[in-house]
Amino acid sequence: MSRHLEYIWMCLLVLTFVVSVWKADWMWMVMSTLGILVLVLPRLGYEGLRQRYHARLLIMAVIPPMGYLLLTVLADPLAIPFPDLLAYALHCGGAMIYGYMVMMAIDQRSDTVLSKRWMLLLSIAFACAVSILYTFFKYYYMLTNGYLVVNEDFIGISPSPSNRLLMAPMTVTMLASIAYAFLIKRFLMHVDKEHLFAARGGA
Amino acid sequence: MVTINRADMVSFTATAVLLGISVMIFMESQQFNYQVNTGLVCAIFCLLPFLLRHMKLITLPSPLVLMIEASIFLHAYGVLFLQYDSIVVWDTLTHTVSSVTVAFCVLFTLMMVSVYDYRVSITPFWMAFFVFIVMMTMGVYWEVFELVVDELTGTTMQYSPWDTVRDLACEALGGLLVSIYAYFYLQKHNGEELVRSLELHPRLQRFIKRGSRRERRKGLSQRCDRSRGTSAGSPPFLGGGRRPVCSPDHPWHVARSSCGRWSQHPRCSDAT
Repeated sequence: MSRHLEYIWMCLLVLTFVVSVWKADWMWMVMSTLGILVLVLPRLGYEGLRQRYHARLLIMAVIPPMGYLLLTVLADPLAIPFPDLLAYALHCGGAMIYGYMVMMAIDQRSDTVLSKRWMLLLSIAFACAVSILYTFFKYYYMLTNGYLVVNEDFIGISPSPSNRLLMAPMTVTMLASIAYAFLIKRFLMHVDKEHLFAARGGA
Repeated sequence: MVTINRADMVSFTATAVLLGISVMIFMESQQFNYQVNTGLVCAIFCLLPFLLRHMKLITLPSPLVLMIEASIFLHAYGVLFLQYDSIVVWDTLTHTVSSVTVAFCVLFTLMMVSVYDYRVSITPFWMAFFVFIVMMTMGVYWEVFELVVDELTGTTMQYSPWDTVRDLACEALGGLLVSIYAYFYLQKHNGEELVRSLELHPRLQRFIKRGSRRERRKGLSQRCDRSRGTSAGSPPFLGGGRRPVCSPDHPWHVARSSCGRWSQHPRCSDAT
């Protein structure tokens, strides 16, 4: 099952990368690149040749790129409300699960040892750090598209609308990461830390 | 009997100065406005290191206490005397100083976890990385807090998107500086001595040590995790010296006793 999920994940990541390039969506481009790097992580090093991610992790990893692609296709025809916020939430989900996989790799491949709880906490931190990158991209977008951004623009005008727009990725990430952490914890509750990297051929 | 050290004197002085200025502004304006409220809250926060030590929760090192006092005082001074509006770089200065202070607090927290939680052991490189990303998380939480306060009360803690981005850059810079310092410091020092000198309250030590409910129920919380990093020839990173040794006759491999408690392994027990 893991093998098929890995193929699906890889196809979705490549598709996401292509769509994000086509839409000039830089953050999803970063996210799909990060996903591809995380996908090949278990294969790096001599031990990794026999390892792949646990099926439950792969199921969770497949959801964000799939959601992004569905949102891209269906947002306009179905008039989905707040597509931007949904995209941020999906982005946060991707960052969380990839962050978790990075923490797993750090735990397995270096002298650093982390408990599952700390891997989860640090994956929240990872998602928040990625959301800052998103905010910088957002700021660049606002700057180049004529939005009011500097202090001098707001003499006699409230800066709230611009601030809300800029802060949306971080605010959504802050709230969504807590929800995702709860879900990941529940979903991986019965999987022992040592089994998060499954032997190749097994589930 | 509580002993007063130099760091406490700095705390008291900062508190007294901020209280004095707040009272003066209150007498002038005759109302509890944003400036007065900020001054009063910051004055109380200046006493935090002393209170933590007095309650025997943790004894912060004097340099960190000074940094905490400086961060709070600079912010309060900026609000009370409107330096944020008149000096362009004041916001940048306070954010950078505060981020360095918070990053040091994060570093100490992770070092404590690495020392007291036997399931966690962090090498210098990854410690630096974790300090940086946790610091960035603090930055995110702070900026969202500013946004929420602005939306609810109508204040302008966030002047503009440029101001927010600059704050985040300052926080990244502060986090990066402390990460680099942490990397080189932990290369040369074990850090365990420093953590012990913090005199963390035994309850807090136990809180760090304890596993999840499932681990405790299944008896996994005191299970031998991995054989690497054993006390014999332990690596020079934090917590590495107390990594449990896996062996069939290890006390943690036996079933839980009738009282529901686990006996501490002598090699891994902390000197509490």
